[in-house]
Amino acid sequence: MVSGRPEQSNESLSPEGKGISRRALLQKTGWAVPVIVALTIPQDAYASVSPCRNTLSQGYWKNHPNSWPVDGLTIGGVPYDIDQLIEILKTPPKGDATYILAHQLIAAKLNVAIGCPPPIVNGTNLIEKADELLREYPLGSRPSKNVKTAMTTLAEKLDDYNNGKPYN
Amino acid sequence: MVAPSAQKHWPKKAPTQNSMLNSIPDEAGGVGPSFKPRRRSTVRQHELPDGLLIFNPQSLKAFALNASASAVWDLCDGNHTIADIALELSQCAGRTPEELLPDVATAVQKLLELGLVEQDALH
Repeated sequence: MVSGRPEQSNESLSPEGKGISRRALLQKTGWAVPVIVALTIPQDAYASVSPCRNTLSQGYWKNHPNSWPVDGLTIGGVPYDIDQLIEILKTPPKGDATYILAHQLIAAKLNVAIGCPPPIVNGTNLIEKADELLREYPLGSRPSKNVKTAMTTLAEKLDDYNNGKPYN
Repeated sequence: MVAPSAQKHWPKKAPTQNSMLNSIPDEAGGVGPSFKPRRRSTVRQHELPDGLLIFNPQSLKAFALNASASAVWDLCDGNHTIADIALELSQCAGRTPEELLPDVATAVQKLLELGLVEQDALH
């Protein structure tokens, strides 16, 4: 494990012991049709199911590829592997708002992947909003003024989220 | 709940040997008896009195599993095929492996669709 990697609970990843007791329960209750029900979780309840202690900045993720909890991410509808994502993170935006936003979006997605609550403002998930913008204006497209402003504003909010600051 | 297409291929009665379960052809485009599901490592689980709460941080979605689905989930370790899971659960569920097989396959298919399990990489 790389130094500085966020602490994660292993308890929930080793269900074998619990599995045995669950099979014992099954012996009592008998078999029923397996049911899997989707739940709606209020944002503040994420903390109770999350091993996240702190979100981490895009700078952290850029420099700690071994800490990544996923093999790749989809950014603006385009799938990338870790190497490609690191390349994106290392690319200086040079005024291109798509890169400014992508850098923060990658970090935000990784923070959610380690179990942190997603950045939601007034019912809007900022990650989904960023993805929508980057789907419409792909990486490297250098959008014009209004879109550029929207992207940089959103990137600032995601930057605050990634750095553990208020982002409302 | 039994997948109709699964019923078409899998025997209603019969062999008790796991090797025979495994010999049943896999469903095209779906999961068959030899499919080896593995829980995604990023998925979190929390105990409920009569099942499990599963949270997928990548999709930001949570799911409640009843006792039977939880028992299937426990055995999605990348080592057990669907036939193995049916066989193992038959020993504590009071049913034959053949009876459980369609239910287990349907549950695994659902877990797969929800991104909670993946096919074992070495399979």
